[in-house]
Amino acid sequence: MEIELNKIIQKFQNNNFIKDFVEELTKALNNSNNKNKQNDENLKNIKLSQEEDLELYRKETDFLQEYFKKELSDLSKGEIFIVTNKYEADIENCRYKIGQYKDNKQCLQIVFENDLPKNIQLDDIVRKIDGKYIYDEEATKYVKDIRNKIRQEIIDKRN
Amino acid sequence: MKRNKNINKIIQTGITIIFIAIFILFGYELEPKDKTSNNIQNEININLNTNEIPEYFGEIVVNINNNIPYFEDKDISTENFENYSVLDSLNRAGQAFANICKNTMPPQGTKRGSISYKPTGWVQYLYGENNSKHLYERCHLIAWQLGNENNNKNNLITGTSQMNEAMIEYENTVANWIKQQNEKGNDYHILYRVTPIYEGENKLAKGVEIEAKSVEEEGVSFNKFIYNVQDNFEINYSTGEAKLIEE
Repeated sequence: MEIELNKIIQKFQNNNFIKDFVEELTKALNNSNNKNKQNDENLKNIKLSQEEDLELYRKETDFLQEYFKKELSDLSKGEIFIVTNKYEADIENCRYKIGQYKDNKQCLQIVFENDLPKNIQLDDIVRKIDGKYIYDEEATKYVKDIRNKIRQEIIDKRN
Repeated sequence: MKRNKNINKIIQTGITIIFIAIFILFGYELEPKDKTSNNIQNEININLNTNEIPEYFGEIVVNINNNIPYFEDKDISTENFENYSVLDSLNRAGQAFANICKNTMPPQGTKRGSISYKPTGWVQYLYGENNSKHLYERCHLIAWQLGNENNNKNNLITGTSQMNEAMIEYENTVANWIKQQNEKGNDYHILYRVTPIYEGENKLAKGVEIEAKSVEEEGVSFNKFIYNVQDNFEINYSTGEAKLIEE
């Protein structure tokens, strides 16, 4: 049975149509990711006034407090953290700070790069499962989208 | 003979006067100094509780609770943590509490970035020749050199340059002890808590309480209150506006 499966996989791999399809799909996904990243960057580059900046802080903090309260009430998917800071001058095994929002507090702790998933970025969400930090793509996207939406709404209010 | 007696009396009286003068002028030096604050100039050893801090009376640093920090047994830990209160409804930063160790500190040679955020009470006052002096500075609650938190709103308050200068002395005490222990191969910790104290709805803190205690062995322990004041300035704490009385 195993041999049959391998044969089928090999057939698929050798099929030009499937090869092209996979290549195109990968390209499209990469483009979409890059576009999203570019949009995030563009949004973040719009300078906010002091009042807007404080409004952003308040709304983001309210959201994060609610979100962490909900996520920390059920640890079945692992303990949740957000990456908040990176020690830029570290030469090897960089340090990061990961945090949670609890009881009106931002609670941070140091974690080393080696203990985190590869290519971790600021604002990513990780979950600690059996002592290991796992990147949570879905949660990262959710949190980033909400935060971008908050920022966008503040900017939109200008018009 | 009588003349000699008179000379002796004069000498004895003179020596007594010199001793009394030395005692009056330098007598307090005979008491052991606080080992964590030898460099602090304006410090007085009065003992207060946090809830009974008087109006500024000319001493920028005072001891709280006999200089003993209020940490509880449950706080004593070798786990690394930094807890920052989120801004209150008036956008003011609150207590910051961290367990400082070599891992929380930025590596030597790191350059600190600039800060754009203006904490509550930030009404900058420039003065002096060509406006070269400034009244206010953005004060980190947990110093950047201890916790590497620079542009975090939860860690910033408006403080006078005099208050910031006084805070730095204590921050250096903590940083130096950690570094010294590291050189000996010890990865030791210091519990470090900074609490800004506001009166009512004032935007500007009256001052900050700084508590510190080394965890693994005795070395650093203090509990200070530093007034948010500046010589020759009259400060309106409800707004942060200030007036230079004399230059």
